[in-house]
Amino acid sequence: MNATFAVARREIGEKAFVLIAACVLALVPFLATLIPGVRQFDAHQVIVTTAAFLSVGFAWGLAVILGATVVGRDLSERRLSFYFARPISPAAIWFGKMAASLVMVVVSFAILFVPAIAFAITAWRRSWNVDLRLFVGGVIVVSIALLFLMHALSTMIRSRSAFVIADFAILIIAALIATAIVVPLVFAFAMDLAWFAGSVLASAFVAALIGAGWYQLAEGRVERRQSHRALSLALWSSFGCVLLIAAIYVTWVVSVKPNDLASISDLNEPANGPWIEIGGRARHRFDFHPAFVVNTEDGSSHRIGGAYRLGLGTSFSRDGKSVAWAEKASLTGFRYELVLLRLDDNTRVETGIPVRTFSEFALSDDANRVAVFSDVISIWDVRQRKLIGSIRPPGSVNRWMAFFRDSDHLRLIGVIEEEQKRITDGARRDSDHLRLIGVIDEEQKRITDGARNHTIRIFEYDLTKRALANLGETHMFARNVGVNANADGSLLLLRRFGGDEAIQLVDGRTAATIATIPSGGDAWRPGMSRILSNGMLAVAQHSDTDSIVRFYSLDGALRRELRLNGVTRLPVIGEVAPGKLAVAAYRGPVNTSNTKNWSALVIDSATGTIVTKGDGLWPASLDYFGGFGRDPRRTVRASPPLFIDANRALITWNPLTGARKTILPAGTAKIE
Amino acid sequence: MTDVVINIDGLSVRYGTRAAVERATLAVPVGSVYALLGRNGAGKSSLVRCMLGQQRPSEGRVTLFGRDVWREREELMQRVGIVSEEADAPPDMRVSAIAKFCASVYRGWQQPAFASRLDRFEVSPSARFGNLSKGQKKQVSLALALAMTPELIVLDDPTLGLDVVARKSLFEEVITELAERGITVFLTTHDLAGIETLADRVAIMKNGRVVLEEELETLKSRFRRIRSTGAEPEGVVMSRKWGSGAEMVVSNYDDADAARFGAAEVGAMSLEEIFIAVDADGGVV
Repeated sequence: MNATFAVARREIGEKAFVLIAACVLALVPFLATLIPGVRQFDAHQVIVTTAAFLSVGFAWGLAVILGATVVGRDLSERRLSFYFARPISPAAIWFGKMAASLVMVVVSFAILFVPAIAFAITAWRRSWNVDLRLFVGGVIVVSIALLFLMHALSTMIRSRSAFVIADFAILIIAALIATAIVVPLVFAFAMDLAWFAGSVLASAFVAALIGAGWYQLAEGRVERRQSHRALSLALWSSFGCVLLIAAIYVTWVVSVKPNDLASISDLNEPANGPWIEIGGRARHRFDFHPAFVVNTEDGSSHRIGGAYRLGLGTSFSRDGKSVAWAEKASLTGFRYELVLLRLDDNTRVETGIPVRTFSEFALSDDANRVAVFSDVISIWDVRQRKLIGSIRPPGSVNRWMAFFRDSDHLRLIGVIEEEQKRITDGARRDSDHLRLIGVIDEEQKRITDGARNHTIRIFEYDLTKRALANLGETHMFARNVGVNANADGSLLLLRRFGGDEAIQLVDGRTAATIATIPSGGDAWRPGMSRILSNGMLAVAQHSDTDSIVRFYSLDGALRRELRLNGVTRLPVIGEVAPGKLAVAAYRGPVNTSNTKNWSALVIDSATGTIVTKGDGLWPASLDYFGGFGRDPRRTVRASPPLFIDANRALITWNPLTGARKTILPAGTAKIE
Repeated sequence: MTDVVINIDGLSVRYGTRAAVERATLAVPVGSVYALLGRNGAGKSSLVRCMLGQQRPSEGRVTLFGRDVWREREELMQRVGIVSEEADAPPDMRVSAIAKFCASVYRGWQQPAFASRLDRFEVSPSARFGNLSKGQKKQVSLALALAMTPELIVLDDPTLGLDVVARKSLFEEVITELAERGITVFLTTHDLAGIETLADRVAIMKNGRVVLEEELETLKSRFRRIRSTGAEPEGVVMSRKWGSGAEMVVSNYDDADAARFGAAEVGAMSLEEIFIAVDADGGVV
């Protein structure tokens, strides 16, 4: 250590003139304010800005020069023997010289920067939107990297050895490998992990440069080419090991399997077929949140893009044979492209169809066409990778639902919400305040519920004519409107939340009202509803302590009802066989959630009785809770629904037999 | 303590395909003055660098005081004073600063000895090393090498570029120091006349090989220049025409044999003459 200090002291003493130069330059930011053309600017801002650029430029420039000369020049001018002829270890020479260089860089930076920042700290905060500690830390970190990088380059070049060509070739290969390590993480939206991996690799490279410099002096000593050889050997072998470890880790990360999921945050199922999509957090993989399509029958799976975290969901074709998702199209930008996987033969189709964050898309039933919803609705032919139609949506549509009625017709259902402020007519929008001042007028009461006028407008885009037709519209006063269609979309069930909470059955083409199902009265809150294939409407309603399922005929007449005492939540899963409705029932206070309190029920609409029951089954899909999907045709379910059992296994539950099948093993499934 | 201070065993140094030193073997006894001779490019500097642990040999091993110099250089350098071929001290450093630096790394540093030696050399301690003349640089290097009380001093071509006076002064300094301390001296030089009265033992390198290594007195006793009109004897290192006869250098001269081949004149040879004879093309030892 003593020798290290001696070397460092000697090096600093030799280059003390640099500090004197820094002291002189430190006056420049202050003198800059006297320049005639600069006087018009705020003096404090001129000082901090000049000092920032000057200090950073000086520090980095000095790091480059010192890195290139502090050992390299001694080596090429055969003056390293001054140290090696003395009882000084290579480590003391290396670390002494480099410590001295770092001190020179940091002290020079401080001499140039600190007086200015001390004088005009407020101007810094005002004009530089950078945390001061982060700025100083960044400058120092980059200086360290430059210092050691330049030393390595200088050693390689000064050796005048042909091996320098190999060095640059290895450098390029190493950079490509490092990129190949980070890129899959970026494309999988694991930005924290990608950033971490990139930081580890960069730090490891700097550490390898530091270690290689020491090894160079330990093994190469005063001989130029041996020095170069030792440096290269240490640098590339150590960094190669880090790359190998990182590559193994990232390979392990991206080779994740569905069973590695620790929690589920995305779950989609098509109306048909055995495939489902699961996305979520995987164990020991930081923010790498993979998504898979999993065959619930044979357990096979494919990993797909995890863009669901950016609001870019996964969409199945109605036949369940194809699934589409968005993948990043560039490393740094926010461009995404749609990828299609044909599940029958595991064919991946890079469609080249551009999508943007929070865009949604709908596949035609055969997955040969896709509609992408963004500022415009664009319709693409997947096979030809060609834009075949584009619609600028009529203004003020807040929410779109859509489905391909057939390959050439895209049915669009637009929900237009009237601005609430127009209804309140100047009243404060904050509903709590309105309650506090005791407004009891019926109209105002509705307003306090957040209800407003909604227009539900039905369009159809004809791809053969490239024409958008407005088919019809209806109006509802509600806080929100839920839309369900029957299997072919010919009927729409419009469910109001807030307002008078009645349910309206309308024609799926013209929006003409067919029937209105009244609300259950003040005691009953509206729940979910479905149009069944046997021409019945199923409507769930809740009180504070009980629930009820009512079955209506299409003319709005109540046919049957089943009261479920003690059931406080009743998500409707869907029709699982003609006339048979699967629901999930929760017994317990509304604000609690416990798997053992959940049970799955199948209710026969023809008799109003429970035909199958499974206890301890937590409904796994958000769709079961009435999530707003793009395709409103969520009536018939051909596949067994998904649940999480008491052991936290993701299972399918056969609604007709009650048989359970594990998809993800016990202890793995946790809904986030 | 071992009787051999430096032991070089089968040392080879290669730069790519070029061999600078080829299987060199030599031993330097304690207390001796050992001169390594050779023309430029003979491999002396590479051998010295390896000998001081500054360069890893391609083959072979070097020990100083019985210890591997590559592995234990740092500790061994406490006992070895070095005057390099080229002045390697940083040119911007003042002489006093170099001494201060050395004082911080050598356990046996003797500042008064250094100061008095500088005084004798008439070198100002405040002078920058780069501003000194070549001779003064060597003198400062020598003062530094001796101030750390070495047991071995290595002088790598110490008289290179020095004038006659400076050369004489440097050797006198070494001689004085040797007399005072009895330290082992290893030197490489082209100044053969200068070391002829100093060296106990010499080695000659030629094309990377040590072609001769023995006591100087023995060497000088077996080499003779003979002018003869008779037949050429055995053991001729070099010969050239001399009138009707030949002038020869023999490497295994024996007084009893002189008459056998009709020697007209037998002369002793200086070290320089022996070196030239050995180093000449076709020279045989």
